[in-house]
Amino acid sequence: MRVSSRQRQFDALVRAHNGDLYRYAYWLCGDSSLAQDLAQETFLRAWRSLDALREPDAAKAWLITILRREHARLYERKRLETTDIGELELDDRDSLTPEQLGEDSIVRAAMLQLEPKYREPLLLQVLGGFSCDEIARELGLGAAAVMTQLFRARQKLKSLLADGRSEASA
Amino acid sequence: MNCLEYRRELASEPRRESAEMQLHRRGCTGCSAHHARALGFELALKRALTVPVPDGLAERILLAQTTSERGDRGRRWRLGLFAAAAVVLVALGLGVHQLQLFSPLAQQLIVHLEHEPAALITHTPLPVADVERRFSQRGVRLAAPPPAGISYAQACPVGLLGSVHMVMPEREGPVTVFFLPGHTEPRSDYADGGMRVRAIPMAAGTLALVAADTLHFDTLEAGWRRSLEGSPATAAGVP
Repeated sequence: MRVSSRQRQFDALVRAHNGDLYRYAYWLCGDSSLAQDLAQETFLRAWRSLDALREPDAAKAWLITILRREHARLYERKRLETTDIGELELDDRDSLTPEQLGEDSIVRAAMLQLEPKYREPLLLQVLGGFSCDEIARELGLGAAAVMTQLFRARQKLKSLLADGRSEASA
Repeated sequence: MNCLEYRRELASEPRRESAEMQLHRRGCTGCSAHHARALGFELALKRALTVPVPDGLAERILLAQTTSERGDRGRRWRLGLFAAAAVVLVALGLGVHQLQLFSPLAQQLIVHLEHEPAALITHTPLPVADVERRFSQRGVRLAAPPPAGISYAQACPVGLLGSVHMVMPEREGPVTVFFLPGHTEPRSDYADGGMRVRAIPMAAGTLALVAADTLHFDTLEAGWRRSLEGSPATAAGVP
């Protein structure tokens, strides 16, 4: 069966970005199965308006925009519950030391405690690799406001990590 | 740039150092150590946020998309089929309708009667003004009052033609009278089953009489000629 160029483009899009989208969705909603649904729904919407995507370099930002809208719709329908730290899956990272794995758990728990207005720009920067200007465009904020949020996000995260470590060592 | 500014900017965008920031860092041991700690923090943060992606996620997404697409295509195909069938039916219907429209006038008149059986029910004569109004609806001004005893009058389309459709009850049965302004039909008599039709060119149009027999046709023809064309003298242009 002949595969259309549109289908090939979509396949490439899914394979290139499904991981990033899933992770972004995961940190937005804090739930693995919900994050998978969000990623899937995002790609199905992307398929329906694939012709709107002109620049391959813009694909990730375009998908993130769709994902954020999907998440907002979902959030309007039902208030999501936050995930307990014990439910978080850990990567299969044989190379990491127990200290590093423990450190990851503390960072993840702290991340879930961050308010969404700090968590989201941080996710866009760390996971998405977007610049402050790009984040500002995505979130509809000024660049200066985004820089302030990112600064405060790291400050708060470090503070939460300090609390987490002191609880872990106690 | 001072240390406070450097650290604020670094905390906003640790992976992008401007030339000014680099210049400051190289000349400041405190900020250089802070930079190293910040990058370490970023690495730990990135590692922690990089949660494992469930196995087969891409395949499940592609499966959902292709399944949904096939369903949509099937729906589109069925819709297309339905639309094509509708077009064929409409075309057939129009064809049948067109055949009726272009069939001989006498047949169209008989068909029209079958569609308006209620026209034959009443026997009460209409006021002359009502009849005249139907004619004026068709842009016709009567030269003289219409013959007496018209029990039904409507401005009706007959096929593609406009007409004034009237009924004149007679003792032997009703006679239906049509006047079709602007359409000239050669004089003719037509019989179909139990119906007789006479078409008469009159007053830049055609008068058609339809009844079970032709008993009153001559009288009515003369009466309607007077009404539509006036007295013979008037018709000849004599004042």
